[in-house]
Amino acid sequence: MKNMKLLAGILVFGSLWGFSEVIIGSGLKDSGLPSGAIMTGIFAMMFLVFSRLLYRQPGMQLGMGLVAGGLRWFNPFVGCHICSAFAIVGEALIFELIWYKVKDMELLKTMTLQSSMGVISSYGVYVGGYIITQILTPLSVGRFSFSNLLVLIPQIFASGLLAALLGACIVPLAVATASLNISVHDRLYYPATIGISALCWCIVIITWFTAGA
Amino acid sequence: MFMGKDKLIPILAMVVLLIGIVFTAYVHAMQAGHATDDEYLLTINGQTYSINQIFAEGEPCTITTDDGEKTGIALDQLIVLAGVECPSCHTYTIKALYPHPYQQTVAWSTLQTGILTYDGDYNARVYFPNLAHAFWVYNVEEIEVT
Repeated sequence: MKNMKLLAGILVFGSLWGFSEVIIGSGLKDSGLPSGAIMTGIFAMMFLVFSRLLYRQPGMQLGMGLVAGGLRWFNPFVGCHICSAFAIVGEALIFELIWYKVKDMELLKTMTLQSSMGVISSYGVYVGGYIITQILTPLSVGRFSFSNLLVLIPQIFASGLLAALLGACIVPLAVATASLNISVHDRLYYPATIGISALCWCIVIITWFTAGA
Repeated sequence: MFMGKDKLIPILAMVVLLIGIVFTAYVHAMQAGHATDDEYLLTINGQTYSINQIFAEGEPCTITTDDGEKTGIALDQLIVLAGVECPSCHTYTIKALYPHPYQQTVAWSTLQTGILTYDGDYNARVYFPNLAHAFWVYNVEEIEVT
């Protein structure tokens, strides 16, 4: 039963993350805003930290990344959807590595610690995801050149600053939200998680067909 | 003696912010130092051409991408115009310097599928119909032949 709850959690949070990347991320990119840093600093960090504190299950966030990356992969909106899918999965992986030891609120007991974890996590997740996608995307067509990655490193490390600053604000918010201990009865839990996930996938698929028409 | 996590984590966060600030300053300094000529110039295999010259000499063609139809000069035609001998013996690195350095390397077989477009507003961009958008380098300044 616990595993089923976890799977439903992975599905719903992964879908919400993927949905925000596809719909909101594409909108931000169209507006000329730094969508990558904003999406990581706000949405990814909120979903990742909140779900980690709610379920306290290492490995769950990697599953969420696979669901969100899958949603992005199957939805070729503006921008590089393959690159974004790789970046999302990479971000989830880096988050798991950074938060490997964080199982409770011990490391997040003060606002300073929460903001600091926000800075470290958000910057690490953004920069790591960016680098991973710059390696995997060329590799997916069989040609990766280290020098191509090297020239981009200053830009990657610079653009992570915005994600870090956003993470410093979002992680305390995610911790405060998780501290509310909101519980959903089993009778509502599964219909709610599956319903929200289905809604996210339906909206993305409908938008895809509408955009393609 | 080891420092407690209560102190270590904020210090690490400050180091991370410092790294971000230093790289941001560096990137902005590089952007400020990037001069743009009146005419858009493109270097192919060490030789510099104006974009108008390229589009005057090349035959425009249209390709279909997942971002719609794009019209420009075929990249393989550019390489031939630039006088590269044995084009299939080389790899091609498409480079941009502004707003930040970026480059992608492709083989001749891939280059043959791509085109160079110019929007007339100081932005020349390459498109490859079968490659991820990460390969659609914009503000192209050089095609290096290696």
